[in-house]
Amino acid sequence: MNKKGFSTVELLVSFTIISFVAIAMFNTVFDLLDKVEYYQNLSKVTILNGNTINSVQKDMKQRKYYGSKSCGTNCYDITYQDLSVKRLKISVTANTIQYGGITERVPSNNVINGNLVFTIQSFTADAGDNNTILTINIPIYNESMNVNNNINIVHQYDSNDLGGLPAF
Amino acid sequence: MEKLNKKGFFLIETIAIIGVVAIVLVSIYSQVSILYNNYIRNANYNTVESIHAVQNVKTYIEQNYTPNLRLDLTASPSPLLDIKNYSFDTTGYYAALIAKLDIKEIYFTAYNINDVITNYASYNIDASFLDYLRTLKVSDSKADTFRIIIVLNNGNYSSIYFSVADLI
Repeated sequence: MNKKGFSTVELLVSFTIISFVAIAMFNTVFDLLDKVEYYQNLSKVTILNGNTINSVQKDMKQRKYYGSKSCGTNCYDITYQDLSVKRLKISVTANTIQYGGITERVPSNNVINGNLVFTIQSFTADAGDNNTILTINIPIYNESMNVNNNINIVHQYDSNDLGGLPAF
Repeated sequence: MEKLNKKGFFLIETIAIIGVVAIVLVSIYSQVSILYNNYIRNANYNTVESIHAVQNVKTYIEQNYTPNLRLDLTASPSPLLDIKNYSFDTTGYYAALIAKLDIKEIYFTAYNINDVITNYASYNIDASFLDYLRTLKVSDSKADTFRIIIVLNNGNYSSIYFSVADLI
């Protein structure tokens, strides 16, 4: 039978090499885990982003924008041409976004780190063409990954087309 | 009776085996890396934000389309006509729209861009943009149909068909 086994030098060299490989593998695994966490987070924010853009844009297209007024800090009541009113409100402290009857919480590790920006910019354009750009921006910041995942909604419309309603 | 090996492993044997294992690990890692990079690349394609942006650009161009756009594309040395600074209007509407949508580049091109993909070296296209263009490869041609391709400042890509026939 083999009575010698490994020599000390062989064992030391083997352990050293295996240690290097193991450390490298651990680093790779931890790196991948970070990336998985990042993309899981991004996925959640993308869903929130998509839901918010889709809901607002759908109403802007189907109900048609009529006018809006502030209802306090980070709060706007948007009136559509069917005279329905939907509230768009963000809470920096509660980390939530409300549109109409739905309130969504911003995914963990993300924070609303600024105010809701609601702007309307008008231009001259041919009759019947869009002449106004409405922009809604909600700043969302991912603290662990140090990236911005802002929600940016842009809607173009003809401010002269009020659907027969008087000026807002 | 057969003589037994009394020496155990040599250092050279241990190193050789670890070397083989290392090669296997490196090859697995390189394959995983390729998969991961493909995933990252695709994560930037057709995101909610970029689709929303390209749809807004299409809406604008549909209302402000000029036959010169088509002529300019034909006369352009590149099959990708850069329309970020195109003079659709003189009111600043288009420039404001691009800024609000956070768009870095906009191109107007034919429906079939296989020539661009094949002869990319002639058109000074960067590698990441080329990767995206490759996803737009088609095997057919459509008359009067074009593409609007956008690149956002955050590195997202998106494209949309634009049919001149639909404008009439």
